Amino acid sequence: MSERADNGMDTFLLEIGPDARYVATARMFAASIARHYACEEERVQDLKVAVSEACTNSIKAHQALGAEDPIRITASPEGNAVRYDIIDAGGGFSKDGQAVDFAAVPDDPSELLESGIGLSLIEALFPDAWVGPHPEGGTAVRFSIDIPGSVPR
Amino acid sequence: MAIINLSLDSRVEGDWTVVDVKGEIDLHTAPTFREHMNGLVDEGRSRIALDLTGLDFMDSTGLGVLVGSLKRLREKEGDIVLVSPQHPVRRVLSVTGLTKVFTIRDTLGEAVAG
Repeated sequence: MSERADNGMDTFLLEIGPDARYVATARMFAASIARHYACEEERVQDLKVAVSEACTNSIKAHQALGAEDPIRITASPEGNAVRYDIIDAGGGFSKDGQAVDFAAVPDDPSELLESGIGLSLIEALFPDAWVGPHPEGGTAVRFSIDIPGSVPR
Repeated sequence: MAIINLSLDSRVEGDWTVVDVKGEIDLHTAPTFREHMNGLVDEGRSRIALDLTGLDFMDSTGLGVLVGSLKRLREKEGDIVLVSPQHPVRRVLSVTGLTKVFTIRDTLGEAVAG
């Protein structure tokens, strides 16, 4: 579950199947790491929302494509923060970097609201969040939670 | 095996239908929540108080159900009142601007008095 990254810091990895019942597992994983590094509890709650939103988008993308690949959630302590990446293999972005609308149009209009609001909720809670194509295909969502009392870089 | 971390218990108090919402609302449990709310609206319940004291987590999947339900109810001149949302849920409602859209009360007594 833990591996040494090149800079000597631990990176923690969780892989979940693209199934809605594992979103709660991803939240628990993310929150546990953040609490281990004594992050502020209010920000841990924000983190749970962001991870939930990112995983939700990823699962929907995989299901739209019929992909059974896992979704990867990594937590990498980087000095003054813990960086989270949620990486999926979904439609996400096309090769020229344009966002692909991978979500099928739902019958219930309130579901459209959910899809649109997910990313904006991540960005509202983590203004430095980054969403973009992953080098191996698919989409990566990245955000960081501060470790209190650590020395800023 | 389905693990549902959400319980929904409804009861009638006067003109109001009170729903005790306990657990978490996310992609996994939101369909159950939606089904329950649609059922109440279809039965003609127009005033619904959601007691969120025991709701530990909600993301945008839950917001979607709330907004959809509110829209349906307001078309019938009904309303939803959110009672005692806990801090993480209130945070999500606030960041999305929905604290201005929903009636929120701290106690059930205040909610059903209106």
